[in-house]
Amino acid sequence: MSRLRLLLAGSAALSLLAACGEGAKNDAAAPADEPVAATDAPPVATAGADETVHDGGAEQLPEDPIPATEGPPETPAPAAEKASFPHGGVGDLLPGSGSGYADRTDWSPQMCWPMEEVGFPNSQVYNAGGSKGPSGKGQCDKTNYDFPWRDNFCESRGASNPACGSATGHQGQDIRPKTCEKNKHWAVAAEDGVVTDIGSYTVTLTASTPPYRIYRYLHMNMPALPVKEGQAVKKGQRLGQVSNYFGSTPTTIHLHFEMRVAAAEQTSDGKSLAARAFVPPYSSLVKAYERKLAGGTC
Amino acid sequence: MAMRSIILGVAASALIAAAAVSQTNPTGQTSPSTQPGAAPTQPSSTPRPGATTTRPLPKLPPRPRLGQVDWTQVVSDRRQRPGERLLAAFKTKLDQGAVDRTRIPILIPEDGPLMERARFYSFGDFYSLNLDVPNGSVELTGTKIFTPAPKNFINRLKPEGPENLTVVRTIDGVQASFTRYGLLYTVEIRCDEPKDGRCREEGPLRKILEKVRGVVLGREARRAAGLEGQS
Repeated sequence: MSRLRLLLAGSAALSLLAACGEGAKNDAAAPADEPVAATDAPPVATAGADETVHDGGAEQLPEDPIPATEGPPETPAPAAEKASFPHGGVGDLLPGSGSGYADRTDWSPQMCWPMEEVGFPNSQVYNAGGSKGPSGKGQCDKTNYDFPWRDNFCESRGASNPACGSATGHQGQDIRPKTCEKNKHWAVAAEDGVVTDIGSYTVTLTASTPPYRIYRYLHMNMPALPVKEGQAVKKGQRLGQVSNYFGSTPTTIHLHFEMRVAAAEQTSDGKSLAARAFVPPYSSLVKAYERKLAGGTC
Repeated sequence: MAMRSIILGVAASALIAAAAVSQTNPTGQTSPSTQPGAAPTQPSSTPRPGATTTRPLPKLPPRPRLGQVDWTQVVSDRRQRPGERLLAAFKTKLDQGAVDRTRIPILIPEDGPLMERARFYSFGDFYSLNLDVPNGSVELTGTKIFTPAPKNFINRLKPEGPENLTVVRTIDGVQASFTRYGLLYTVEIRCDEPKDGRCREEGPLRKILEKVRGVVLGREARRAAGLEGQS
């Protein structure tokens, strides 16, 4: 069973994380710009360095089947250019973790890196501490908090993702915060927009300009969010602290970052099909972090 | 000439040094920081074996395009739909200013309890209608902005019926997409608890979908439909 070490007034005590229920919901009737009092924020909890998460590592429920991995990415790797920090390629998933989607499209060319500080995109399931990761290592293993970055869009999961070869796969990118401490490192708005939904472990940000991308931020510190549903936010504005909320079963400490657009495609019989689709965030994250390294504001 | 070579040499050295900084300090910090009590998570400056630092250039996303609203069908549906009074009651639950700014038909479920605490957010050509269900929420969206997708991006979906209904399971729920009046609409149910059966099967969402028959037009939409002066 996964346990989290709660630090209460400087003294450590072991406790199971309480389930997050209706109390986490924000009141939509409250004024949009009303600040949220931080006094009811829960004590800071820190996962121990030796802690192993046995909950599936991320959004994968134990009862959900993980499809067998298939062949190489559909799109061939194109020509190369110089990049500014160590990161794996688009669609280059951890071996054995599925077949990536090698799409070089920067689906949100102007977006902010969605963390206030450095973060480490990589797998929560197949890395240390994940249910399919190397044995004997916890989620705080230093390899999880290091470069190179690793794409995990389309990583083998049970949820739908038509872009992936098997039509199932991870719908976003998992990002670990700067350190293995929850409720400390901030996730920020990728674009100007409105917080259109807050769930028990999810925040939905809808961009205020076309194509009205929908960004989803999962597993933040929900009782202490500085935003409310209906609130307009600027890009770079704090949305919440990266944590491990996932209903009644905590996940690893990470931000699940997801982007959706209204996609339209011509089918083979010439008809037009449209659907709200998950788009791979990895290229946009790399470019956004490069802009941040180059002195960008976010 | 010699001076020029020196200047070029210095500039080249500076560029190399700058590149070295960006390579060895990818956290964006000028010096390593330590977090008291933190696990040993400081990123190293050395890429692990197998990591490469040369990557292909990203492509810009396809240019979005505007869908054309089938106003004739919208008007026809509004005439044929019974329960206009019920619809008017629902409409009062919505922020009228936001409704009036919306340039597309707003679809709502004909379900009083579901509409009881409706919150409506308008972006003009896009809207989000947020509804409460016990221990969860339902979000309806509508848009006339489409992004052309790469080949095989969504066509593994299996569309149903004349509105090309597709249903996908998300991490926290189930999402349906369909086209009506030339626009894309979605209905998504989200649950507080990932194991909640309503968010793991399509049935509960499909029941909600069956009720999504009401059409509300704000001032901008009525103008576009040629219905100015009508409610």
